Amino acid sequence: MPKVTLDLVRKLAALSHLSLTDEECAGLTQDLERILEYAESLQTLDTADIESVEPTSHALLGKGLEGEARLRADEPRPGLDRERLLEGAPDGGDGLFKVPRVLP
Amino acid sequence: MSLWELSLRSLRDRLATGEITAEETARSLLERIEAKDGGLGAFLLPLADSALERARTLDRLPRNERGPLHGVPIAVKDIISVEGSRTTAGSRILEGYVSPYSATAIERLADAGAVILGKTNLDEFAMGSSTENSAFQTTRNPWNPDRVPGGSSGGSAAAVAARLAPAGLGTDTGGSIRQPAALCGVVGLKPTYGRVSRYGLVAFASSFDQIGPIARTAEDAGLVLEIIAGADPKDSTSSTRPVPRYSEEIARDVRSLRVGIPRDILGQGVEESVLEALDRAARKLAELGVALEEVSLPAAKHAIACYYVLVTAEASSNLARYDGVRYGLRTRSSGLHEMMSASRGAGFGREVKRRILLGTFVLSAGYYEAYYEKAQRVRSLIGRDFARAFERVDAVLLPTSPETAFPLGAKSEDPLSMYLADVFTITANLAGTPAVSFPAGFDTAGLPIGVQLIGRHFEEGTILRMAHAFQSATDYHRSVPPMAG
Repeated sequence: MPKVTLDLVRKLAALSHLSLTDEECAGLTQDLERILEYAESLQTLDTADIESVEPTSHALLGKGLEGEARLRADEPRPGLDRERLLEGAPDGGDGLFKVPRVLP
Repeated sequence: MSLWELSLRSLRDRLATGEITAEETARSLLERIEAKDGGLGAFLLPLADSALERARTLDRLPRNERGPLHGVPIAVKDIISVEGSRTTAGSRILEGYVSPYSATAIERLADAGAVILGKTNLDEFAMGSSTENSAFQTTRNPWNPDRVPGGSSGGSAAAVAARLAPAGLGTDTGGSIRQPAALCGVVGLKPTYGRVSRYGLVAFASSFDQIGPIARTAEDAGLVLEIIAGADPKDSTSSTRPVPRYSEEIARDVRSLRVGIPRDILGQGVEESVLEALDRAARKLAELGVALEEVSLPAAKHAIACYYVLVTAEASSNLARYDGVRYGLRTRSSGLHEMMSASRGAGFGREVKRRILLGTFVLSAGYYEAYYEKAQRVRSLIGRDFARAFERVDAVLLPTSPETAFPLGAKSEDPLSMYLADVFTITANLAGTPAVSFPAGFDTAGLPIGVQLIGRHFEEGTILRMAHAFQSATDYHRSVPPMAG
């Protein structure tokens, strides 16, 4: 199991765009360590035995239930009203979502 | 008898004959919510005005235009979108957000004539087993106000148990319908993955999430499921299989059905009273003519580890959308990335942050194969275990929760102990199978105990039939919690 350090937690927080206080980072480091320790049980499974098992990415696939999931024709259809959707934005209008300046 | 005391089925029948009106029904329940919910905290947002207006419109409909749930009031977990109403998902990050459209399940309930009573409390983004992770309020267990109602659909379960609604909608990713139903002494049904459209459900873990009913009886749960189930062009994972009339299927004989208890996973940590209730339920089913068989689920001992790797991965990806740009909370900051990180840091609670970090970890380069991919393979093994069991039996019988309702605060500082509360429910989510929890006894402190039947994919009718037969022969579901008096 990898060592869960403050640095690892800070790196994960940066990757997931989460601003955390020092106190939160310390607490979450402990939490993650305990949870990953528990998840080690997965590593005790005989890998050779399960390499032949296909990973499940959809609860019904590989169970003879493939027909349950389907793709629709890729055709344009009317969506929700743009102005209505923009009403929910913290800063929006004129057909746009507004964000802080990206370029200097 | 007051209208709020009636089950969904009796309300529906009286509303259909015109013996009672939709308006007096809605009024009776809204007055009850007003009087009782202060001490319970089940509702985040009662929708009194829109419910009464809707009920009056329904009352004016000619008889031949009335739907199968004409005038029936329903409570909705606040993670399912209702057009024009706030949807918070229990999170500060969505505070103030108003849904611009309704979930397909809500549209179908509306077309059937149902009245939405209000939005109920939940753990933030449905992440939790006690409803204590709500950013807004505490929900109490109607059987004992110092205990949790379970979660994450704790608001809907408490509302149904306290007779504030004849039925509610919940969502179940790892047990979030069944576990609170068990802890509150009501029925909770997680449908097969794909049975109910997820369109309009705020996503947590998309290969697990399902919407389903919470009610007092298996029959009432079936009456709601047959309305909300079915194919939806807006959700490509919704099944095109025809939807049976569950409320008719439940009346069929249970003799010839077979049930198995996988004793190999009833390890330590299960309360004695829960094991006794399980055995009592098995004996009762046997008395009713159900054959008992031996089954085993050998891979299920890895279920919790497997589940928390996969759902956190899916959650970290799904929750990337809360970035302070399109909806919800924005924390002012100078640059774009700073604004996003600050908004997410301020808007998400501790458990959500924990899961985003864990999900980011298991998906990151170097750890992906050891955690995420491995868990996906273990998920397949658990699916195989069920397939093997279903060659011998029609359903698997398990406790819903290893314990009855625990005290508020008992696990809120210990995430792992909270995760262990899901030990018996998550297997059905990993396999995508349907499962129904129903009341099967009380512990010595008078707290309700639930057991669950897990069935084959798309065989909700079979497990509801057995739960209905059990409820027809027992009185556990008729007990009313003290708070509901």
